[in-house]
Formats: sequence, C-alpha cells, structure tokens
Amino acid sequence: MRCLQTSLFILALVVLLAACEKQNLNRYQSFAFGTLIEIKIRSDDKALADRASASLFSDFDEMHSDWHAWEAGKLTQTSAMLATGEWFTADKAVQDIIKLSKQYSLRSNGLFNPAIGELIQAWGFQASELPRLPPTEAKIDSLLADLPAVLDIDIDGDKMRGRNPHLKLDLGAIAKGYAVSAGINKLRDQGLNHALINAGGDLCGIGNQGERPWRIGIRNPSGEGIMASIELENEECVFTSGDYERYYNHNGKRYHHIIDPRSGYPADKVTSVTVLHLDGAIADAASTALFIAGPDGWQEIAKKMGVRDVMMVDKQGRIIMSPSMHKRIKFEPAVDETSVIITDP
Amino acid sequence: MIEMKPGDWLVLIFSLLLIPLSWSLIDHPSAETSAIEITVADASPTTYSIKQQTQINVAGELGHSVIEIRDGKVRFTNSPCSGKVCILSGWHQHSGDHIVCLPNRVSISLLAEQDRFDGINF
Amino acid sequence: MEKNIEITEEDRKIASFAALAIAIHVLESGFPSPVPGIKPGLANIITLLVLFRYGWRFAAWVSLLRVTAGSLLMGTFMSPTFFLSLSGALASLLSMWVLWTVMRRWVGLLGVSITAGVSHVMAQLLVAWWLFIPHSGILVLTPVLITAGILFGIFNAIITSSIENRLSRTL
Repeated sequence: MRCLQTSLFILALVVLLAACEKQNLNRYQSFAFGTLIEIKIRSDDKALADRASASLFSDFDEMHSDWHAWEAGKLTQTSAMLATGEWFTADKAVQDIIKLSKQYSLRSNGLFNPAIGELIQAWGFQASELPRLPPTEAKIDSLLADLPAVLDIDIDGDKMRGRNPHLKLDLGAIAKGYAVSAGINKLRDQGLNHALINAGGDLCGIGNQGERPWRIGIRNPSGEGIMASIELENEECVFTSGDYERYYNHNGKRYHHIIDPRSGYPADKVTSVTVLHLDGAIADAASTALFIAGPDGWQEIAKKMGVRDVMMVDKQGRIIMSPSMHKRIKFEPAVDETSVIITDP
Repeated sequence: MIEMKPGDWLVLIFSLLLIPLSWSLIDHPSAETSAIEITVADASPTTYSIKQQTQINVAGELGHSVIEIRDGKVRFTNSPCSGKVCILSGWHQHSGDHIVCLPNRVSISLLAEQDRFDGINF
Repeated sequence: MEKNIEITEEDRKIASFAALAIAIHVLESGFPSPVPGIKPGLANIITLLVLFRYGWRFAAWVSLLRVTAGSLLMGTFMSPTFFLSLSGALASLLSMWVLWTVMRRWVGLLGVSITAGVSHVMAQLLVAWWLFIPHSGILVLTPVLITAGILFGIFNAIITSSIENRLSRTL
C-alpha cells in the first residue's frame, strides 16, 4: 500500500514535470552557401538529429564548393570543358544538377538560364564584392550577340558537350533549392520526419512544428516587417527571389542580380516573386524565371514548370497572386488586402 | 525554532535548487516585440501589430475586456474579472510576455518575429 | 455519550479553524498583491496547523471547507477562480497526505509546507493551462510560481511552527 502511495505521488510529480518539459525541437545554425543556414529538427532522438544536421552542413559545404560559379572547383572545371566543345564525362557531383537545370531552363522558356555565367560576371555579381559601375551597353550587346542557352549543352548519359565557347555555368538560381530539398530528403531517409531548413530566407519543411504546421513569415520586399505568413504542408518549400537580395546603386538606379537573358539587364518588372512548391529546385528556379517574366507573362511559364502557388509584388507595391496561393497566404493586418490582385492561371 | 528532519533538509535543498533551474528552463527572448496575439477561450488567436495606437474590445466569457495598444506597449484597461490582476499589471512591452485575464478567458501574448514564425522567407 | 461529546468538540475545532482560514482567505484577496497573480496563501498556515495538530483528514476538511465556503462568500463558486483554488488545494492535500502519512518519519513541517506550496502552484498552473488558457505561453509563469510557492512554503512553515509553539504552551 505504501509502495502504491509513493508511486502515485511520483507519478503525479512526473506528470507535473513533463508538462514543463520543453519541446524536443533541436535547432542548428551554420554558415554555408555564403549564407546562414538554420536547421530545425523535431525529434526525441537528439543524438540522431545532431548527427543528421552535422552531416547536412557538411553536405552543404561540399555542394557550395562543388557548384561555385567563379571559385575554382568542379563546376568551373565543367564550364571550361563545355567551352572547348569536346565531349567529356562530367564529375558526378555536378551531373545531376546540370541535367535538372537544363530541363527547368527549357520549361521556363529560357528565362531561367544557368548558362549565362559570363553575362552575370559582366554585371559584377560573380564576386563577393559588388562593383560600383554597371557594364557598358557595348559590353552587354556583345555578350547578348552570342548568349549561350542550355540547348547549347548536349547531354548523353554521363557525357556532355558544349556548343558555345561562351558557355559558363552559373547555378545561383537553383543550387540552394536543390541543396535544401536534398537535405530534407536525407533527413526523411533517416526517419526524421519533422524538420525545417532555412537557407538564408529560402525554406523547405517536412512534417510540422508540433503544435501546428511550420509557419513561415514572408518579409515585405519594400520595407521592414512581415507582409504575410504561410503554413507549410507536410513537404513543401517556399522560395522568394527579390531585387533587394544582391544589388548596387549607380546614379540613383538599382542594379540587382536577377538578369533577364533577353535584354541582358536586370529584370525590372517586379520587386519580388514567392513560389511554393514540393521541390526546392523547382521553387528556386521558378521564382527567378517568374521574376523575369513579370506580371504579364508569368502564367504560361508557371504552368510549364508545374508551379501553381505564386505571389509577386510589383514595382507599385501591388500584390499579384494565383488563386491557389491566395488560399494559402494569410496577410498581416498592415497589408491592404483590397490591393491584392488575384489572376487566373 | 523549527524541527528539521532529514526529509526537510532534502526538500529544502531540492527546492532551493529548483528555483534557478525553473528560471533557466524558460527562454527570455529579448527580441523586439513585433505583434500581439489576443486569444479568447479556445478560439484561434487574432494578431495585431504593436506599432499602432488603438483600443480593442474583446468579448470574453464574462463580458468585454478592453485592450489598449500604444507606443509599442499593451495593457488591459478594463476587464470584468474580480481580481483585476490583468489591469493592475499595467503596460507590457517585452516579447515572450503574457497578460492573462483568467476569469474572462482572454490572454495577450507579446511576440517577436521569431516567436510567431518558424522561419522568415525573403 | 462522552465519546460523542469529544467528537463534537473536535468538529467544533475544525469548524472554527475553517472559519479562521476563510477569514484569512477573504482578507488576503482584499489586499492588492505586490506581484499581480501571486498571493502568499496565508490561509494555508491554518491548514498546516490543523495538519500538525489533528492529522491529514482534518486538514483536508479545513482546506476544502475553506475553498468552497470562501468562494461562496466571494461569489466565485464554480468560476475559473474556484477551480484554480480547488485544484491547488487538492494538490497540496495530496502532497501532504504522502509526506505526512507515508513519510512522516523523515519529513516535518518545513518539508510538507514547501512541497504543498509547490504542488499548489503547479496544479493551478496546469489547470489554468488545460481548462482556461490552452496556450503554452502561460508556462512562462512557471518559474515565478515555483519560486513563490517555495518561498511562501518556507514562510508559512516558520509561521505555523511559531504559532504551534505558542499554542502548545498556552493550551
């Protein structure tokens, strides 16, 4: 009897203590891809989460150096080989992402173009220090005259060949998305079914936060604060391309890093495009392609890329979005919802 | 003065250890408050920006609670609860803080961006 | 016959202790607390005293009478405040029962008072969380309440023991 009483008391204590216990949300941060990466893993197995996150950070480091557009590595080697015009076997580390890039580039009608490294370099965005001057018109015209596209890359199994001497790969609009999605897949393979990876403002989530789905705030592109929020479904990524991410000003004009391959100049129709998609690589590439397409031409490309949930903020601060995105987005009180334009796909 | 048995010492020591432990278990977010959430009973919370001047009337279990937001701070100015604890506690401005009018089942949570969202997309 | 009178005598004592506890309870709720939401729970001194002198069963009577009659007096019966009070009283009675009847040989007034104080506030917190504010944010109150529970537990034990010393000298 005494034993029973004591154990009842201990049970009561345990219940009290369990109620105060913090959630088993493990949080990790590290610098990779030139940005701060945060991984949140909800799991009781802290040791497993520790190991998994550490292995993701090292994967990200490896991908970052393998896919670097201007620092010598596997991608710059591949670019050099493509420029020769000869068939060669590309390194395994870059094969898959180049194949995907080609496919997505075709589906984006060439607006996402991973082959225009020279143009991006001319704009000064292939450097950690941004320049003070934009390139001359003559320079841009000469680059545009023979601008490479992914159709200039022949791929046959693990072999590839370039057919434009100016081919220079820049995977800046897909690498992060590809990596984050790969990270989510790796976590899932290890039985970690609740996680959120935030790579410098682009996120992929799996499972939920515990009490509720993963909730993402979308920052207002034209100023401080949060514009809207979104709750991620079981497996989903939210990627935004904006003109405020990397830019420099010259003579009062902003030159940002999203270059329209058709004009050779930074795309100037919108300030940001947010895309929701199951796959990070598509979300990443599509947010860039739709940014370049702008408010008038995005539907066709979204359809071709298999993207339904799109929100863009135009130069006047108007919010344009697809009906399916409108259903998912919850605006902050400060946003004037009457200015939201919902366009049919 | 007071008779101390071994168990008393044990409880005393354990409890004196429990005080710092309980404080250390709670996060003290120092981040700037960006919004408040007002929750009534089991309903899902309503979010308000803290950067505004306004009075909010909330219908709770017993009656109307009046909440004032001003200069990045928030307080209850009226509430039909007996203790008036929520009103007496005055202005609140730190993220992670909560003001609760228990009898009326109205609670205010002060939130920083990172409390409201698991991640920020930009 | 004599036996009956003895029981009545004890009942009378219990009733008067309960009345005293109710009076303290009501008085205490009339004073604004320096830290909102936190009260010393001085009425628990009476519960402890009764526990010490007459045992757990009588302490339970006094405590539950205090909660019920006190809430009827203040018009909070069956309101959230009442359930919070009740849950606190039940939890501290549970801990008193375990410490006072099961582990009496090892634990005295101080241990019982601290444990009862902590059980009291934790039960209230949990009930508030589960029934009234289903929001984990309320748990930020945990350290404040635990600290208050422990400090007032110690305070109440000291007061009770000095009252008990005087009582045992006069009675």
